[in-house]
Amino acid sequence: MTTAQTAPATAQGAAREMTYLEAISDGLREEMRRDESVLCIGEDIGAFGGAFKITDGFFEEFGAARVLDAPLAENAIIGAAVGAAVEGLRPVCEMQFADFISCGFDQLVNVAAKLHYRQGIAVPIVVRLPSGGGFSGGPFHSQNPEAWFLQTPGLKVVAPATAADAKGLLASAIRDPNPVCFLEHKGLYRHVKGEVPEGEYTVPLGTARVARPGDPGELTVIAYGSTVHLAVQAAEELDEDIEVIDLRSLCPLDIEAILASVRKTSKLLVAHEATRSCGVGAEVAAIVAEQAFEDLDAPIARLTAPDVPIPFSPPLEQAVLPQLDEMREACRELLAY
Amino acid sequence: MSSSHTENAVQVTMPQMGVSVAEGTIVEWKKRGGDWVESDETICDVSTDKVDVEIPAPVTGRVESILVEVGETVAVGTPIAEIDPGATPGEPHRDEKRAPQAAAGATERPAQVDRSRFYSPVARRIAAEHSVDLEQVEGTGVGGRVRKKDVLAYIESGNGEGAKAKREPTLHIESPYRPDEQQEPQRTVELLPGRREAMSPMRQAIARHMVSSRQTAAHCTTIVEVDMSQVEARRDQLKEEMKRRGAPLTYLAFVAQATVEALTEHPVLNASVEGEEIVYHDDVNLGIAVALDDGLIVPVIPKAQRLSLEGLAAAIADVAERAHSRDLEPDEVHGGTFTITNPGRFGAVLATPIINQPQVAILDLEAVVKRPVVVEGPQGDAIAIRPMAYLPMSWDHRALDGAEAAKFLSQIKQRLETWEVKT
Repeated sequence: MTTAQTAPATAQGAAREMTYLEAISDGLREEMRRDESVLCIGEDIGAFGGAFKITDGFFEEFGAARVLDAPLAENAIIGAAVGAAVEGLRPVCEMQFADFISCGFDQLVNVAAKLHYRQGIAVPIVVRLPSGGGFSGGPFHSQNPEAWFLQTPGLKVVAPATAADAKGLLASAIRDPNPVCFLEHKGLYRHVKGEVPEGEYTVPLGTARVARPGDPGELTVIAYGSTVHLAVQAAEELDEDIEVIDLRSLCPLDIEAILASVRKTSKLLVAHEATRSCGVGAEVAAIVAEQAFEDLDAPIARLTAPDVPIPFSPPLEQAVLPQLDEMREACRELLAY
Repeated sequence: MSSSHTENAVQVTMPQMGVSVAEGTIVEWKKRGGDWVESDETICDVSTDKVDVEIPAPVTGRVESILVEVGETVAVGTPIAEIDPGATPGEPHRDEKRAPQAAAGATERPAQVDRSRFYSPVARRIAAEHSVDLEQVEGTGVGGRVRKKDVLAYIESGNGEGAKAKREPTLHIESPYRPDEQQEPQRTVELLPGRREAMSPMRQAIARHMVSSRQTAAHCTTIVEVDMSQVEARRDQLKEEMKRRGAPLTYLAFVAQATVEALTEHPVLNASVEGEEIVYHDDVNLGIAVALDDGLIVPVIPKAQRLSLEGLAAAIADVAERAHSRDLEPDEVHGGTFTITNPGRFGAVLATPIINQPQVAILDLEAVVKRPVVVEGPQGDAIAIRPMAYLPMSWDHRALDGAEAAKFLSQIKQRLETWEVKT
């Protein structure tokens, strides 16, 4: 991987309450205004403004040359972006749903991820992946495919949980010289709101965030995306000394932050909406077992979706996706251990 | 299947499952204490060496208690559960009061497995670091498990006072990595073939004493070279008579005599540093380092300034002999004000000894060896063969400076090189 060439820029004071979706929009717009080489490409993102309206108004502001409507061909979208990136542009690809990335897989994992390794050529593209379930989208519109990309050296993977992080991480992803998979959780789009700095704002890739500090801390919950909110809510409801770490960047992973928290609390629950096997939870658990074994006071626990497709049926989908009561129960069990 | 009434509960017993079957093993309980069960509904699965059988409930009611746990094998006819047929659905069960959370857990776990003697890695580590006997710690976790917080509470309450914190004074709970601490030497040594032996108490004392001296004093070593011709000549004259008196006359006695004399003129070398003060001692209590097979001891000749050459020789011989036979009194190894060491006996020609605290200097008599040296004679300079010895002295730069050390040594050299020989 090549090193990010960006210095973290902070906004000049002002902040505004935005939804997670508005924050992504705002971050993308700021970067396009700041840097003419940034462009968007995706299905229905132009005149229509995107399936989720992330690029609403972009076509009018930046024109057809920088807001490109693509055919239903993910391989072409990412392939064109790789070529544009090699020629000096900074394309931001929108997958209408993260699930559709499978059609563009070869361009992403075999071309974009390996070009720097093979030929020393940087590929500064961002692939935005609207992911996650909770709205009866069924098996093709609800997946959390981050683990696929975590097994592809050469890609960076980020998954913001808050509005401010969504904006700041997107800006950093666009400025990063590596291909970055940007997982934006659809369930957070309109449900999560927060103060977001206006103007230029970046959050460095590879740093975790303490979403809820523990003092002295009896349990660490490591989460990202939607489960961060479950963890914080469960901790508040239980009113226990639980520290919640929001990874926000899955590659690079902030191992220091993980170890620091576990060494403090000695108990760890890893939570994510993605399926269980070979997921981020497995990786974090392995790192902790390798590097902080002597600090553990309980078995490392995971709260994840089981290894099944996401069902259409609302009650079945609820049964599959991690729920607040399960989070509470998992925390309570570890606290009592 | 047979059932019998005890009070109002119906006992479920291990059924006779065939002519030759005498016992059965519970494979799985389909119902737990407090569960409602309908008559003929399966209550558990039982395995025999021939068949696996589902056991139906004999009556409708609430399972009052499970008497035989999963995995246990019991004889046919043994009660395995009790069902209360008079219970009404929804009425609280006595087990529910004992384990209110049992129903909430999605995954069922035997609620009260004894985990009191299972220790987690962090509990073990903290216990090892603070010499805590985990058997003494009361556990408050699931099944009586000793949690990290239990160990920390135990240490903080001051229990196990004697053993506690012997190795380190502060509580390290966050990380096994201690940047300030040296790595334990055993880790690397253990990889090498060889054997391991505990240090003797004497070895340990020497180790402590020497390291502490190095950490205390500002060590500096000054060396003079001495022509021992005159001493040798005088020694030859006195040797036989001394031997008759039972005390061999060694070079060491001459050096000791010259040293004692020089100390009276350079009191700063017969002194101790205490804080920001220098304590000058009235007497010269001369320590003589004696090498033993398994260590080193420094017996002290008190008031050495009162002794003649012969008296010093006799005293040195006496303490050396008693050091070897382990007959020294405890008081005889304390109170020294200056020490002479004599590794030259074993052929060494140079060393930089470590000061015997709280003294400020240690003189070292090295081997007397014949060397060609330049001598000044009436016909000018000439090369002669002379018995020569180095006298290195390590001294504490806190108490004195190099000039003083050199003057002191030069006085000893002068005295030894001009020892009067009777004609």
